Amino acid sequence: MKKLRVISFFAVIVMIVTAMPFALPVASAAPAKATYTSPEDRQIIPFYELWLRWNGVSGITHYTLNMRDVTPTTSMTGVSGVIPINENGPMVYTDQYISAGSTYFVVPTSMLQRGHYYRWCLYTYDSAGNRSYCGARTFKFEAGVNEGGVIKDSHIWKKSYPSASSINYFIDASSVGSTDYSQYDALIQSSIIQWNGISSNVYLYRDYSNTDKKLGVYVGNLYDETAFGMTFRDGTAVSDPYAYLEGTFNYVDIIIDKSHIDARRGEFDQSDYLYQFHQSVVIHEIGHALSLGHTDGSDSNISYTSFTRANKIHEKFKLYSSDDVGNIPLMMNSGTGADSLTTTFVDRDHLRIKWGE
Amino acid sequence: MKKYISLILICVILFSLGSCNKDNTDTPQVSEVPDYNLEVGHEKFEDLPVVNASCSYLGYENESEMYDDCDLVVVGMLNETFTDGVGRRHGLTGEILEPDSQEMVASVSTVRTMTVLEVLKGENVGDTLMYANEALSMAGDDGNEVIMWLPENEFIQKQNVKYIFYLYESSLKDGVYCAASDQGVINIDGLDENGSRGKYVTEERYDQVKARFGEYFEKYDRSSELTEEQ
Repeated sequence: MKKLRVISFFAVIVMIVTAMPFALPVASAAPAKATYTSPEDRQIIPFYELWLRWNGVSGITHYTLNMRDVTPTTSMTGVSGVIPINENGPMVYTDQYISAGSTYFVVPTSMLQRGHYYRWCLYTYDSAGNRSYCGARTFKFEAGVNEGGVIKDSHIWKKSYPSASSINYFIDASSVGSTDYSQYDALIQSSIIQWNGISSNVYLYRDYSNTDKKLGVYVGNLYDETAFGMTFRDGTAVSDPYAYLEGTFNYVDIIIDKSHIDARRGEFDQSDYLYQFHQSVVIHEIGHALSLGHTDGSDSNISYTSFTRANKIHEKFKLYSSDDVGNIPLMMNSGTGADSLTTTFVDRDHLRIKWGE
Repeated sequence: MKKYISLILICVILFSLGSCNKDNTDTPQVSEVPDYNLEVGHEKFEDLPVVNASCSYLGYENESEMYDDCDLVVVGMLNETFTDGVGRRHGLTGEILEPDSQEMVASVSTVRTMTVLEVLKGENVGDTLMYANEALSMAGDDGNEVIMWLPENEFIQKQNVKYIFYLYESSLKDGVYCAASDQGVINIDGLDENGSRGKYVTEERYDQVKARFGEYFEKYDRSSELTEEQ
């Protein structure tokens, strides 16, 4: 009988232990974490508005966001060139509530100081109030360009089309001859439409007539041996250059260099990196036509990066396709479209900032 | 009588010789100012409004890559100011268009003569060569001059200022040379800040060029003239 009691005792213990996980309140499990998408860690932000983005998660009630100005004081020194973090800098946002359905938060630039460093982090909360920490990211708000005492953002040009809601474009690849015409045409066409569907106020449509076009894309030979493509705001047949200087232009001509495409076209194989490279040149130049400047702030004068010779282009694609090397793929970086094959969050944000959602 | 005349002649000759020696010792030596250091001043193009063009172009990881890739590297100075150069418009196949042509303009150039002072890379380079900026000075509707389509990453070089040029022959192969778009012009005499360290030329690239061609920076340095003017 005593033996039976002992067995019963252990049976009860086993049952309790087995049932424990189910008996525990659900709240003790950490809610899922969101993962950041942009800005990238250590990115320089040249935005008019700052968009913090993340991938949303299910099963949570809300997020909170903290952001601190971590700009080092003059007395702080970094080690091996690493910029020190000022842990005691002022908070920009403290436990800012964000509803569960949101995957972004817009920070007005009035909240930021140019040239300062910021760190932000996100928390997810479940219904029991438990939270998960999603890490932290730092970024720098671009210092801007000082022109006669006026600080300008360098990534969006003020001068532009009066409206981008309906830009008719004309493609002219007639200089390449009839044999390859359709291939050049397809390359350009597939590149231009990358900018559609981003802002409801930007719509580029093809016009097969060369009269009254707002945007012309031509294949031709640029005089400069080292040029791949050029954007002429207000067109090369401009009669009134002051229209551009005064703030608006009515049309744009883009020249894509034929000799470079011919030399490196990869037989128009669309999976070939050279084909993609030429596409990226067109996309980049169209971005300029839509008044986007260079994302890396290089419009102040110095151009830091540009295309490299064919054998290097492939390396560059590989380099920028990997996030773990700390590089940011941006279509509108200076002199280049080769950093990215399609428009990125940043490029799209800029277009929306310029023309509206 | 002859004696007196001979004596006077000898005296005159001796006096002349003495004067020559005196001149040589008391006046500044003209040869100290090299004949290639011509007057540099403010130029008309510096005051003109500029309409830039955006450009996608070949770039280099460093100076060494640029040096290897280009056709010529020279120390040179331009004989004319930009607004006195020959402006040209090029069609879609690169051809030079007539001024009244209605053809599509694919690019522009302004050609000037460059005096070549040193050849750092290249063979059979003469004392001069033809050099082009991809920009054009033209009149707007109101008659005022504007510089059109200068690539935003490039600057126009001043007359008589010395630069190291990394050059390519134009795509037309017409004997006219253009500088590499990716920081292919570096000022070496200190008289043009656009081509100096940190403006149109990154500090890194400038230092790389100076590391290779430092002797020419020293030889042609005129930065003291700026100090004297101030």
